[in-house]
Amino acid sequence: MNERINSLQQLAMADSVANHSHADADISSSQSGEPFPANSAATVHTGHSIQEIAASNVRQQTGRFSEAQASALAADLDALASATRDEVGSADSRYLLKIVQLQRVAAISGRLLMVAGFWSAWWWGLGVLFLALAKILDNMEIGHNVLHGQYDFMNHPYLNSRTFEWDIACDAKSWQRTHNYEHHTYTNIIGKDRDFGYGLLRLSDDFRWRLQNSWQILTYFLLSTLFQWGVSYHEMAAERVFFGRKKADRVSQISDAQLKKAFFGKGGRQLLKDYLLFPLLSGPMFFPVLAGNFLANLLRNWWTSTIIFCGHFTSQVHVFTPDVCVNESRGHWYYRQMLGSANFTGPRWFHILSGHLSCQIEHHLFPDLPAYRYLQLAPQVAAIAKKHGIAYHSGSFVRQYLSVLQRILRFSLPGHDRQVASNM
Amino acid sequence: MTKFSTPVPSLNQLPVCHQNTKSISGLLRQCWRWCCQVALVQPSLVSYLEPLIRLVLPNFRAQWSHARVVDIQQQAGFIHLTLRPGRRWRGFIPGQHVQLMLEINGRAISRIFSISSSLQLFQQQGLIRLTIQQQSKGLMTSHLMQWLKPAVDAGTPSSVPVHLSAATGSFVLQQQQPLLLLAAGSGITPIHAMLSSVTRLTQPVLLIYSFRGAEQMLFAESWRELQSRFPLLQIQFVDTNLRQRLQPGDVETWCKSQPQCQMYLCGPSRFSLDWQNKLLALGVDASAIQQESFGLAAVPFLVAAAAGAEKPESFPIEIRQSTQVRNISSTQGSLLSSLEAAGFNPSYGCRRGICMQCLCQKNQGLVRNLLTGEISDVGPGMIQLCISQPLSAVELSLPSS
Repeated sequence: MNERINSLQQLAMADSVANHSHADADISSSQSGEPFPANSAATVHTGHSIQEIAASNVRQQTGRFSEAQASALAADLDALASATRDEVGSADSRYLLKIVQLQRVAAISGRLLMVAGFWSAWWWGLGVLFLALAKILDNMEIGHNVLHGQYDFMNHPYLNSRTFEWDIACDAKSWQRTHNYEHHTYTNIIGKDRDFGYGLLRLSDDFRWRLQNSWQILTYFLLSTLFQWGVSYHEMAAERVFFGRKKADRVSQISDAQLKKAFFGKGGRQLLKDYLLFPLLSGPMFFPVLAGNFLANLLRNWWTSTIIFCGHFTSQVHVFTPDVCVNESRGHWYYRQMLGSANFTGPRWFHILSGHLSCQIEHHLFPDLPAYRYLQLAPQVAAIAKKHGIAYHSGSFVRQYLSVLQRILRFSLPGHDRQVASNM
Repeated sequence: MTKFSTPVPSLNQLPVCHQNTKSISGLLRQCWRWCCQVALVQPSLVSYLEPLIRLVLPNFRAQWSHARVVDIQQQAGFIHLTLRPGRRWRGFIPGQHVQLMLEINGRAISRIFSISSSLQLFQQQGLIRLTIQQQSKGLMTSHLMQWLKPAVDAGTPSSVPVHLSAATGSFVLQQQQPLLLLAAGSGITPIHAMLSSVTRLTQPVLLIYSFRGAEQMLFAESWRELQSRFPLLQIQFVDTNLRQRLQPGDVETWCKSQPQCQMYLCGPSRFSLDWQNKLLALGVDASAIQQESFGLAAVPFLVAAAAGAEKPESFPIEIRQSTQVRNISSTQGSLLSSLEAAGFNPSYGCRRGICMQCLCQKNQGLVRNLLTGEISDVGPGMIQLCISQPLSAVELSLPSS
């Protein structure tokens, strides 16, 4: 569906010029609790009814954020990052070690308990939960963060972003290219950040409505169920390896053959591990262990996709037009990261199991600071956001998740307004 | 006939060729490694289990051997560190070097040092000694003195864990020919290990050892003892505070009289390079010269920067890619643009320090992070090419493309 965007951009730019007068004061109102706050942006003369505008809430946000405001924001955030960076050290490396220890204990005991299911099915059930926990820790708090280079300061021989590999179908290097580079650099830019809707879901009116969008809530549940394969296939979809025409403006540093090799190599090894090697090692428990591994992978898929969807697809987050990243200053990049992400609250264990993606805003501002620091940074970032009059999207997990479902449902239906992305 | 002999290290690490698929054991080993990688999604079984082993043995590291510090002595700008390597450490050949690793504030900081003690000391008492030149701003040496020395003096050396890599290096004696050994400063350390490990000497050996000031002379007692033990060993001391530096003329007669002589050069990189050229000019065959150099171009610059000297425009960058080594000089701006200007094609993404696609292994050298202004450690570490600017000569390893 991305091919359609270029023509929409033209429209987008023309329309947004008329909309620059949105007041910054409106921004802070969007964090006031309602998923779709009715707000004064609706008074802007765009010729649509209040309901429509409130529903496509992205519209309310961005007036021009001036270069002076942006550099003031950058100065505050840079100072915070630098102060935190000075503190990074043995506390962070001890924390990572503890999490890895927990992951190892959960993985080993999970696999053993599943075999103990020979004596009682309860053991098997417990084993599945432990293995799912191990996989979640490995993917979220360890893999995601290590592959971001957050713990590279340790000079660790294998817990580093160059050599780490994780227990998921996606090849780490491929994920780094699409996630670290595309998603983190071009966060929520329509047509540039493929993580926005994963090319499957229509989450903003900037995308042309198609028939298949009407049942996209089912597509979402399917994606969530097969999430690790979706992540794994993500780069190949972008490069149009199997389907579609190559995009002319896409610069790829890697050949299709290499992509295929990484996809089938890593995916094949994962299948071999969970559905042949460990079941074989369990002897008579072959089928229960196979089923248990399948269930553990499924639980991990549901968990990770749910957490990840809460980061960028709540109804509060903004989307942007591609022109914003032309000569974008650091301040404007920060600004875009804050508006394009959403946090959720919860107990400490919840943050750990989410890989601290519950602090999505902090993560997007400082992707290379250890995640261990995000909870400590959050109130300070919120204060900076308030000072500069920028929305700080946060809410309870349940509320954020409901708002994601609402967004998926809302954009299943065609919108009247074809342009809502802000161009800052 | 053996002209001189050194004891053969019993546990010496032989080069293990994992790629050797011809032998059955090689095949089995490869198969085992592959199974581990598939089952554990980690490079090896030991690295998978390392975090758990550390619950019981806190000093266990998958890729390092723990060493106990037995003694730490200071002598005019040098630190003599006596270590008892753990059982996993596999010994050394005199002349080889090891990496010493300390965990400083959660960071694994490692430096390469030559082993300066004899093989007999290791075989009989299980000890090795490293002789380390103190750097005024050196992270490692200051940490050694600040944390390790008090701990050793208080009798609790294990409170500051120290780790060693396997010994490596090909700067070792070949037991055939007469020798000319040229050492400058702390370059004497591997040569001391070589000579003090010798048990029988039947060919003439000339050692010329340059140092700056008598108090900087290392192993003074050892030299006296060696000279009395081996009449064929000649040692010339060159104190550059008292006389001029060593000149090619000083070794010319020796080279003429010993045409079969093997030359060993060890000192700061400039010393080794200079002498390599000088010896070649004297007509010595290049294959007869073995050299080992150390010392970072970074350190002189740091000192110069502290003294307010102007920063040079450009620094040499050494790039290692698979087996190739290329030297380029840096341009204005980031290392990424320098590399691209020189025709390299390193992978990159955002070019603004966000995405870590251009992350690269720096083997040594100082770089400044253009985003944060942070200055790196001189030793090995990971840097982002797009936001790193060299502040000294830098050595990088690029993944083979």
